[in-house]
Amino acid sequence: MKKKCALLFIVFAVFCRFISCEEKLLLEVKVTNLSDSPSTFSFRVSRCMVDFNGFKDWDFLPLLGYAGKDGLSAEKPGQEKWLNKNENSGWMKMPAYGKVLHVYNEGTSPPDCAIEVRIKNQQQQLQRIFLWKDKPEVFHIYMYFFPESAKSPVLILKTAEEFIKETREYIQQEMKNFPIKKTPELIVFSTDFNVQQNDNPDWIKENLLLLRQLGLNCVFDSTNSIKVSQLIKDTGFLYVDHWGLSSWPITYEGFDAKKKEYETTALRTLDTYFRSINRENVKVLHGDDEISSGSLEDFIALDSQVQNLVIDYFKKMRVPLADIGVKDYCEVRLIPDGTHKPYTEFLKTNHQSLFYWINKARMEYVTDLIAETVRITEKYYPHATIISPNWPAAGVLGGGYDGHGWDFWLVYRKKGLKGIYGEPTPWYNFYLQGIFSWYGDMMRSHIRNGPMGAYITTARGSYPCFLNHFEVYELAARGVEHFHWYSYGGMWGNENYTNDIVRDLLKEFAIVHREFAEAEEYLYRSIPEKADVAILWTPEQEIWDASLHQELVALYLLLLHSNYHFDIISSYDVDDGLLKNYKVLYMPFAYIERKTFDRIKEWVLKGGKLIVDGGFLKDEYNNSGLLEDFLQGYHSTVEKKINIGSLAHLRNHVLLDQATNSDSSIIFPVICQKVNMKIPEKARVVLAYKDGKPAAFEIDRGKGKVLVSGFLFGVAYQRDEEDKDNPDWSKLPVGHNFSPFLRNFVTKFIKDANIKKVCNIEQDLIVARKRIKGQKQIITVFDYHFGKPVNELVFPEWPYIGETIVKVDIGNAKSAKSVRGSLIKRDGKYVWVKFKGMDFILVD
Amino acid sequence: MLRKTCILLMGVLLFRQTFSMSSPNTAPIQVNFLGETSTFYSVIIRDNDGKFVKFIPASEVQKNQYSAIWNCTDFRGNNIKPGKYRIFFSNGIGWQLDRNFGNNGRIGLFYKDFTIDNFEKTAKISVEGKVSSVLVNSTEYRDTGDTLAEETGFVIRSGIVNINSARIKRGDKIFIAYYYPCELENPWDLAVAHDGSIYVLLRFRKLLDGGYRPGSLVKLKPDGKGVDTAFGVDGQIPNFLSSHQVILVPEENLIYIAGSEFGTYGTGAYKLDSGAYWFYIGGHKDSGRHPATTWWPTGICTGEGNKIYIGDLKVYDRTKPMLEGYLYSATVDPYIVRPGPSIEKSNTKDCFYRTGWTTGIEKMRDTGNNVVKIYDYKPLFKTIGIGFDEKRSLLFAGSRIPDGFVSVIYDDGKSLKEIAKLEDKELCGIHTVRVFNDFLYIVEDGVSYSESGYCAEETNTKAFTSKGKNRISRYKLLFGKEKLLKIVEIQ
Repeated sequence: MKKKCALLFIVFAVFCRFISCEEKLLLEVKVTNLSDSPSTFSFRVSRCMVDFNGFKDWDFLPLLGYAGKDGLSAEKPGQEKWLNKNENSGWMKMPAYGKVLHVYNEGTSPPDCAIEVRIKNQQQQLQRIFLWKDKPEVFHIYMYFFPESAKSPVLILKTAEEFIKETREYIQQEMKNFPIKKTPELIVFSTDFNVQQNDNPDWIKENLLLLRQLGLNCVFDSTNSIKVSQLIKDTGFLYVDHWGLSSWPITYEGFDAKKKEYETTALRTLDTYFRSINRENVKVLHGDDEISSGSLEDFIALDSQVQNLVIDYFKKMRVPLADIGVKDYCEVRLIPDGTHKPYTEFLKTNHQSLFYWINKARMEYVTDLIAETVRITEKYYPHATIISPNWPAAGVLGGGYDGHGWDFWLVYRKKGLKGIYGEPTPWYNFYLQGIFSWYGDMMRSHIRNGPMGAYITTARGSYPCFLNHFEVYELAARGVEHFHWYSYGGMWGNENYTNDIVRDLLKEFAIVHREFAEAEEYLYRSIPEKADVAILWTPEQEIWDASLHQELVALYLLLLHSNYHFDIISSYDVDDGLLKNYKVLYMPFAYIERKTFDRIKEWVLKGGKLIVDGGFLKDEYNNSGLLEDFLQGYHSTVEKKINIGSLAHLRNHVLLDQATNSDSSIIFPVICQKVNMKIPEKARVVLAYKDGKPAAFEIDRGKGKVLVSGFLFGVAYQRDEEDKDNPDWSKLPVGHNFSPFLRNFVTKFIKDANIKKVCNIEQDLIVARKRIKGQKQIITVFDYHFGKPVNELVFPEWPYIGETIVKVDIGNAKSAKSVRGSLIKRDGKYVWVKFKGMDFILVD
Repeated sequence: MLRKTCILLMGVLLFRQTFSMSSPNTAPIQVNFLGETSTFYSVIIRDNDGKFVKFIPASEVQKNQYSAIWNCTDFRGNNIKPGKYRIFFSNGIGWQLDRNFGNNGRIGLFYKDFTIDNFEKTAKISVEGKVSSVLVNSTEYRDTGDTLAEETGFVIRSGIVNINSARIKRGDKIFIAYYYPCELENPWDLAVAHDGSIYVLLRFRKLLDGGYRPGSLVKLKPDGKGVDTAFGVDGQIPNFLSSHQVILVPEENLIYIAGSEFGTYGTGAYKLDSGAYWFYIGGHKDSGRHPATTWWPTGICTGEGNKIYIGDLKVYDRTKPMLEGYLYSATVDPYIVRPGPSIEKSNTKDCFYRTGWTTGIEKMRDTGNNVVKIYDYKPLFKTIGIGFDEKRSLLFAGSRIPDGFVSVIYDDGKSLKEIAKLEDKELCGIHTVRVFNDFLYIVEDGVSYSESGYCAEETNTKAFTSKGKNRISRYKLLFGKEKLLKIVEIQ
């Protein structure tokens, strides 16, 4: 408890300092014109929270004002107010909530001036005069920096050249004993580089050189300046990323009209002069900032305007007329007589089949539009690896991202998008559970092992060094080959913080790059070891109750912690006959198309092992009875069903019951959903509620087996952990005391099917993933205890992470090598690896 | 009338000529021959292999006696190589509508009219292109899609007009306006590529409802019978707010369009092969006071090196975007009514022609830090765009009047002289003329001048308010048979 309090105090102190830096920094500037010509200067900071124009957000370079005879003014002064030779502005107090002060020459002749700056906070006070003569239009002065992520800021007054030189020297010094000298060439590390066209070219070049020296091999070329593009090329970056086409706003005037609109935009944007320098080296083209569909309610409200679109889809899909209650497709109305707002809810209750098919029609249209933007972009960039809108993982995690029916599989898999680019910005509290693994596996599932890329959020504070490192490994283990250090480039700060550039974070990037340089030959275009276990996603669930996403995520984390290889598959995969590749299937979703479930039933009869999580199944029209048809004698009644909401707040849910095994060695807390079950005759009760009624049962069907639970395994697993530790998920220090007993129960079928854990690793919460490339293998190992004893919380930074030794089965491989840790010994097919947090084991 | 003109100009020579082989010559060489009075004669110089060298209009020095002087330069003004040259003469210059082109010689707006004489439930009338409007007894219905059908009894879609008999009666006059081979509304200029493909610039058009239909550039197949859909979006670069002139620079794979970007101030550059936007040149800075501001980019032509001349009149380096390539401005009259296209290249690198509503045709010279007028020609009619036949040093200037004609003007390097007129009473609203090989492309715009908004002071005359016929026609240029006059050896 004492330890926990101490950690909380550290975190609190860090954030307080962080905030105080913003609020208590005092900046004053005096400028003296030394030129023979009268002159004036303007001032900006990157990035300031308040300025004369009232900009408070989303402005990287707010204008602080102009210097003249009357000091600082909001508007550019008339020439009579400019500073004459040897005249000064007097001390000008400026809002200082930024890291870099930018001084612009606004006169008509080259600058020749003295800029005197004094800066002060509670701990420090600095003053310095900078002489500026004949250089280009902007002069940059660094005012403070964070030496380490979890430490308070240090005031400095340095020119950009001085600061970058010092930073580079610091990194070189820190890295001098690091044995790996190579930087990655196959795995791409990119960043954005948000400079302005009139920035000092030397300053831009210094920044780019630093990025290159850190091992980045790619830059997002914003393509608004041929000068910057040329500098990127000259600095030796192997690749660049660009913007692609956006499908937004989604409107419904028809596919052909939208296609023409996109083609027109492409014609104007994708092959311009400003892209010409680095055009051939483009790796990734980002489409929409986030893939999105608009609102279903708005779509239905358009009524007759989209009627043809809906009818055309119904005809194409041959929707049974009887299902939607019409004699002819032309009778279809989106808003039938008597319907009232909100239409979505009304249709959902009163016209289920129509509601379902309208969803499908809209999603088909939306996904066609997104796919079209990719196809058009590909015409201009046939060699790009990934052309994709950013996949909004955070939204998916929240469930029901943008209205009903979001169907990512339809977008990526069925419409043939070129790769996928994830924008995982998750809630903090799941970082250390493996949420980035979920992103990686979900993306992998969408694109079926096609090219993948992801943003890595690098803001300091809640995203410290260790987490960045851990995230990259989790994603790489799933096949991500293109990483984008988000908003790092150019040292501008990112959109959340002004001060995210910290030297230890830069060093961390350099270390990551060098590790990947060593591992990339094994990682690049490798394929994951075959999984025998699958977890099912269905579009029907998205349509009827997207909030159940949380159960999918929770169950995923349970399976991840169990260290089995598994895939997330969709009902499209089942329809395509891919189920035969798996031995065990988890169904955390309750809605499924009847024809898809028929295939699952066939698979069970042939020997498949099915886990139905939650006690009931409904078809695409919201009709019950799927499970009842399959398991004769089964009947279920939902006693309680509460929207899961956020996984971070499971503690707020009422405990509905407990599900216990016969000797009470396993106790699942029942929350959010409780289903009372009348079980079939030959079923075996394996868990019971407090009142003795069945909470879970097993039954043989054909050559297979079915396990049905009347509650949700995933959220129960999460809640059980919360009950034990009572952690506050919103705080930084977290720990894992997830119950191996609950995991063992839920994965019982996997064990029954003789499926081995990855690399035969049996240690609790040590997880591995193996990827194969010819004779080579790469095993990525993760310690989800972070080198800490069970029950102990961990602050997610390197000094607080402990070492772990793990025994790894590498089979008959000739040799193995640890990238981050060390091989302690080898005995037959096993090697013992000592590592901290995560490691790559390279196997030949 | 057209045929008559051709016959007149192509009249058979009455005088027999003989040719002789003279001893080695030096410049200038004078040739004399006999011809018919009041007929146009020209002298054509070819090298010994028959390759064209120069075209010179002959002067009637005395009755029936014609003379021309060749200064031993080629059509670009360069001294020719020593060797044998053949001197021919020819009489007549004329034109003939090229009926293999487009729809019987023309593309753009066409009309079909008929009278209702039976009462079928629904009449279906096919036309060869997209319907623009339907007139029933002088009431016009424009194509606004299926909704028109509900109100008026018409469905206009994909070249078919369905007429509901409930809304018409026997004897009604139906008049259908349609476009061939695609919607070509208000053509303003065109350029022809080496392969004969035609890039038609359509200018924005004010709509009846007060809105604007944006301009575009359409690429048509050489025969004018279809759109090259591989170009741009379905064959066009869409959505120009304004635009005045289009030129092609194949060696740069670029198309330049004056006034197409940055509001109406920028000259857009687009890829010739794909139509993709590249960048724009010029623009507007400091409320227009900046010397680099291209206020009126109504015309463009390329110059020596990377130069481009824009509007009236800025000189830019065309390899640089926006204002970056600004070189200098011309100290010429700042504002002249120029609807554009207003600039046409010449056959010398430092010279070009420009046209203005009140100034006529001016030949301009770039001095390296200024652009000055060297001579001009003021035709009696108002001309907008002109076409230049580089080989023959002939300018073709259309008259924007109802009974259209094209004036043929020769540039002898010292002055501009009208040498002939090409007439076709069918033409109305000639906006510009373009020359490609021996073809003339005549562009008739689709607006009256009052609509175009450029020439309000001229709208009180019929000549300027008359609406153009909204189409493009292709004529074959015809010259009389060349007769060998002399073979000379140049040292």
